[in-house]
Amino acid sequence: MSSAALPAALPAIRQVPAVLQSLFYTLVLAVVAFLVLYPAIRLLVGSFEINPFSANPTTGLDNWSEVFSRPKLLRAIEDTITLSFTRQLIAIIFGVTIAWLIARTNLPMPGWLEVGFWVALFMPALPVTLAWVMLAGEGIGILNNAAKALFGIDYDIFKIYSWWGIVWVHVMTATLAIKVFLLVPAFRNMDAAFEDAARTCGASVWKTLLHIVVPIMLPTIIVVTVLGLIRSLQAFEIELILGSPAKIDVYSTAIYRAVNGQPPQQGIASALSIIFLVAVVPLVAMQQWFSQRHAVASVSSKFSHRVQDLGRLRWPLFGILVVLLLMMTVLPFVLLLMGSFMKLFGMFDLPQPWTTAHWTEAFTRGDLQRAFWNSMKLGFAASLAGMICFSLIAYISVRTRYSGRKLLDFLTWLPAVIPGLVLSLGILQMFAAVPLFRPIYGTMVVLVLAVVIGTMTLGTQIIKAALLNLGTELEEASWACGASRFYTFRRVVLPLIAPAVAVIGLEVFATGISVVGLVALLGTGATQPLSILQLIYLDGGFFESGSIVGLLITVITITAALLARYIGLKAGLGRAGS
Amino acid sequence: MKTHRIGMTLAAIGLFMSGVAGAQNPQEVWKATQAKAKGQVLTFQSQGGKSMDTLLVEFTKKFGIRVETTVSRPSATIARVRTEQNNGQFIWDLWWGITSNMVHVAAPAGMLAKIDDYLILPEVKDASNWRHAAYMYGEPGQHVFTYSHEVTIGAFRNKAVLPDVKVDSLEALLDPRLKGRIAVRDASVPNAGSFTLSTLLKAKGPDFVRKFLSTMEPRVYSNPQQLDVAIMRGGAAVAIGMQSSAFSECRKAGGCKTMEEIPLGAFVQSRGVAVFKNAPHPEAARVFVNWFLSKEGQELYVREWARDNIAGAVSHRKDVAPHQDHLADMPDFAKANQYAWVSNSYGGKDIDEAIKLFKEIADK
Repeated sequence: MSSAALPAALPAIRQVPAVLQSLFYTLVLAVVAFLVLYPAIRLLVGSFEINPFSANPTTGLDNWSEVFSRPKLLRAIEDTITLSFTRQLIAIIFGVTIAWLIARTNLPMPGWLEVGFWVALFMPALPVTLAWVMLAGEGIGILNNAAKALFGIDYDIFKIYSWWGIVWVHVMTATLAIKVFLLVPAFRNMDAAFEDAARTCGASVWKTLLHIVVPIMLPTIIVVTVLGLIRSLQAFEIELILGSPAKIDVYSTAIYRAVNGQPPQQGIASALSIIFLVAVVPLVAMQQWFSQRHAVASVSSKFSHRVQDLGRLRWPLFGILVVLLLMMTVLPFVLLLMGSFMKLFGMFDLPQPWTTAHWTEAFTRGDLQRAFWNSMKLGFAASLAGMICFSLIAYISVRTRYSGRKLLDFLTWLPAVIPGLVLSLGILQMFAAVPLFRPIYGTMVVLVLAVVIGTMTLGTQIIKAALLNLGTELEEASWACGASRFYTFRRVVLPLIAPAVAVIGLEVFATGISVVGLVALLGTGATQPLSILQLIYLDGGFFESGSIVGLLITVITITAALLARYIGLKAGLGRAGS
Repeated sequence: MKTHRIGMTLAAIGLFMSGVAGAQNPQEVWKATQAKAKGQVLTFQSQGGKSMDTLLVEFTKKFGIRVETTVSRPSATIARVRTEQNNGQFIWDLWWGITSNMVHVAAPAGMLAKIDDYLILPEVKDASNWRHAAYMYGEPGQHVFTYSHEVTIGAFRNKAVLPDVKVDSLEALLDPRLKGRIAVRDASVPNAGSFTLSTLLKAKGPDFVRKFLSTMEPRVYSNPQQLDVAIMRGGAAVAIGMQSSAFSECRKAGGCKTMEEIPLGAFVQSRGVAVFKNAPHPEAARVFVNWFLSKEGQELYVREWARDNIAGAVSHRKDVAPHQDHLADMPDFAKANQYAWVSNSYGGKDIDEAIKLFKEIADK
């Protein structure tokens, strides 16, 4: 039984009247609706605006007709769907298996392996992709050149500029790592009694995983998969770098090009985003329908936590995971570090290729220190606000009978289904146009709000999945003893879902300090975080200095993660059943 | 009738007073503006750079005007400021950097003030102090003052790849042996790729460019570092849209010995300064614009730019010499027609056409 169970003596608690509770829930619904619907409606309106940068803008259907007359759009949609589904399929199969191995088996050093996946998740995407180009690029890749020298061949073994190259780099960067990151805490919270029963009946470890663990965890797995799929469908950075040389275009690159045009083609970007939103909403509805019917409470008053014995497979599986993690983290990290000490990134054949000048350049810039503190403020504030808001929204959606709970849950999906490139524009419109926000426009509060809106879907849905896995009898016992909803939430529910909340806090923190798109249009010189500084370096042609800032962001995130983990372990969180 | 007379008299007095003010000594106006601006916070949009930081520190030290710089991509600045202005928010004073978006988007959209209204010092206003009067402003509306024009070469050849193929003329770019061995920067947006293609377009016309893009099957790179590494490490024989600064840096470090520029023509990138419409601190903006465009400001600019950049430390002012190592970056104004002026109104059509052509071929 968790230490989070009922306290020995409850203080005298005043119950909040039902009307007030209902009013509070309506207020939450109204705030969420406003924050997510405003950008969406602006998007719709924007799709009809023609020549918004001319002296006389008009309205009409021109943007829509141009979008539908694009000759390569269908091909781009086809590539987007096949690429996204392929890498999500690979990532979910491996992600579930790895999360289960880490959380529920006697695999050696599970904590360190978990941290390894955190590191992979927090690595900066652009420099890591270029590091893979340096390794496996046609004609220039270190591995290709080594293979040519070693085997006397005159062709490239690895072709990073290809459909499979895109899949590979995605899986090796965030796609797999985020699955492990989000699933491990959920898997840890599962009652071992289910697995014990299966093992007693003679089922093998793998059969138990497939027939017991996966069905029980399905709501969480579905949430993680749908979120991953939506993110994949919106991805464009890796596709731009690896897809362009291979003539592979995806849907989001069209949005990217529209946003970065001269003038920016906001109407076309909006129309493309609306089409995306309409296409993805059924996926969200399906997920909601499924999670409501298939939720299994895996944490109850009879909770127990025992690990499954992997037998002879224990060390070989550990070895495989270590090799995988080395490829996902150490290899690109070493290349990035080497790149930051090179006079010119990737130019190993210069007479004196090494220099410390980029480090000096990066650290002597006056704005680095300010950007560092801005990032810390943004990360911590967004993380704290996110944990509180998302827990509250998830709780209202799952644990109350409030009539608007389904709508509230649905609304939290909207920020994820609007492509990030245009969501930021919608948020900008909201802060610039609504008088209520004017006093805070240009301050750190705006950036915090933007990060909270941007991470709302992931945060709410993961905490919601954790709540769905939590049986209601503990709360009912608390209420029976006279505790209020808030007291029960604070003393019973929160400690049990703490691992999931902490993971979300960490993810929001990481987003806060690495985010570019969401804050690029909102920050001012006084509030610009490290991520924008990195963008400035990269745009200014100082790629090596940009990589250094990227490394710094990674190190900060990992340090925060380790610190959070250390505090969590000290406090007994993340060891459900202990 | 009496009221009418009083009105006429007041108007005459007003006219007289404004005439006096107009005839006021510029040095006095300059001093008065400085006094008014003292203690204000100048809000900037710029593309960043260490040299900019040093300049602004000097400016603050000299005039007691604090500067708040926000570094953004030009496309982000455009989207942001337009949205703010549409909603009645005017929080930016100045925009400083490459002039392409200022000239082609912001000025026609009415987002900028006339820069002449902000010029006080005779040494700045006097066209004879600038190398070519026609290139002082980015566009005929005179909203953008261009203080620096940098000649850039965007086409390079690596002789280590296909050494038998000579690329000594533009026609040689159509040599079938180069098919699939040419790297081109994604020219669907304004960047070195579309700028270099616009020079090709200017020299040989649309049919040649169309033929080049469709028959030579160039490999398209969207990331500048990726393109640079591809040509410098021998992954491609020819690069269109390479950053010439990367080539210079490579040469400086003792590498890229098998690489050379292709005589394809050059494009000129202009840097300028503009004041946003309804700037909240007009006096501070005035002080900065005049100081920065003065001999003192431009000398400091050239010195600081050279400290941080491998190319482009050139001023359009006649009395400010380019940095010794950057002499080749100064345009020859006698042959101005040969360049593609990608950041001002002279070259707008060329870039648009290059982007359109590139998209047309890419969409096939």
